[in-house]
Amino acid sequence: MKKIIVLSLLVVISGIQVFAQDGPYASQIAINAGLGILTPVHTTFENGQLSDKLVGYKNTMVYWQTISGSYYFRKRLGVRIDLQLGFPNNPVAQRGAFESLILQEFGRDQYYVVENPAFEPLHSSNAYIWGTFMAGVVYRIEGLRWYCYPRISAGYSTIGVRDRDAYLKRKNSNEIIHVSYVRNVDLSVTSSFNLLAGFSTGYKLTNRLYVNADFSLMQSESDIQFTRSVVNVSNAQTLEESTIDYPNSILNFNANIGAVLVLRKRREFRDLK
Amino acid sequence: MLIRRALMTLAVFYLLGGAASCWVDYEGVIPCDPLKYTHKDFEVYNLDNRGAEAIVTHETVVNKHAFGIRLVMDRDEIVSSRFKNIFPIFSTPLYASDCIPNGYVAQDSISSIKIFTIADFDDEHAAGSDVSEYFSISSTSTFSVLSEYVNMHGSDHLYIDQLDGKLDMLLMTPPTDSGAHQFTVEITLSDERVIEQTTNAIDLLE
Repeated sequence: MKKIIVLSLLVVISGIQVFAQDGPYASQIAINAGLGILTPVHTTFENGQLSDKLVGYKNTMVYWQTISGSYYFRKRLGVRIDLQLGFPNNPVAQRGAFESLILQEFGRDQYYVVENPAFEPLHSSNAYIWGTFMAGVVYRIEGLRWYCYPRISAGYSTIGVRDRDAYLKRKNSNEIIHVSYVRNVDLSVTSSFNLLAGFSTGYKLTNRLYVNADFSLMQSESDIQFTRSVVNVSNAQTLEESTIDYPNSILNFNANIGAVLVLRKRREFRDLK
Repeated sequence: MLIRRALMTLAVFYLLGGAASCWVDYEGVIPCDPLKYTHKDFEVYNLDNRGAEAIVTHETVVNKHAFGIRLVMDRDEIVSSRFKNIFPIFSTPLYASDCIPNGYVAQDSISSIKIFTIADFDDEHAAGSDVSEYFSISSTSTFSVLSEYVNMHGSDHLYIDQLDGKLDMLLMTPPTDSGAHQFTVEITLSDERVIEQTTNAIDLLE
């Protein structure tokens, strides 16, 4: 069995080597396809900090590298655009985690979380499509098979912002308090400015097909705020009202794997088969 | 032939029923003769609200900060003459009316709900005093004093499964002194009937 596997690998590798005849820096226009994850370097929700991810979604999200392409106008230098689309988890799924966090703040030994008959207004179940568009400059370092493309990019991402609330009933009491976080933006999806630094690396399977992995750090900036209110429902008295800043900058780690397809080679490689 | 006659007879009934349901008043609105309910009686229970939700208690002691009274309403439905049809399937109106589908309207709405203490409650409320202001009706997201609640919901439209509804009236201002307490709940209806019930005696302790 081992012999069969080793022989098969040798056949595949030798086949690949037959195709990989181009020298380095052959591609001029290439497109990427891939699947990736995006996660904050410093987790927000788990640390009990407020962010849109607490209010709306989980920290880590899987996305599709939907449209991504590079154009090399010099041997080592090119431009790259990326459009990534993701499907964050349904915000309702975060409700339990949010309530647990609030309960922890007010004291599990003092309060219960109770059902809110007016659940719908603040716990909208609408999911949204996350998207980011980035454009930047890419530098090439290539061998015959392996390559590494460092790059820097800038662009915008969408941020899903959801209002959140919880009703807490005090133990041994008729008192109920309402804790709410209401966003200061009209839309439930807004945008953030991003800066990205990272690199792609991979192996050329053929002259036109590469296996690719992409790693980057993406800094997101936004100016979203939430109004936090604590109201004693029993007597309609506002106990606390404050403005909470969305973390102005969140550093995300971005990784994806996929393939690169070379659509057009540089002039000196076009006649090579 | 027999089948044809039977079908013809059914068709005549259907058309007559349809014609009756097509009756439109001069404003172009189909008159509504809705289903109605009437308040018959109610029961009262002591509530223990120490936990996540209020439960009926038959204990003799409860925390005075977590005490309440549950009203369980006993309402009867009054079937409209319009729906007393020997062939019920022919009574379905062919046109929409302004009646609430499957809804019941109050024949006798609630005019007031009052709570009287049987024992001395505090310095300002001796035995026999009205202590309604100390109770609120809770629905988690809102607390309404009894008069507000009656203004808002005293003549609510109800569905059949809501006829025997319950109201939880929570004691928001407990008595200054701990001890045995008992309350009489008095409901006045729009037809001037007054129904009252008294809770079991219970010790309200700190």
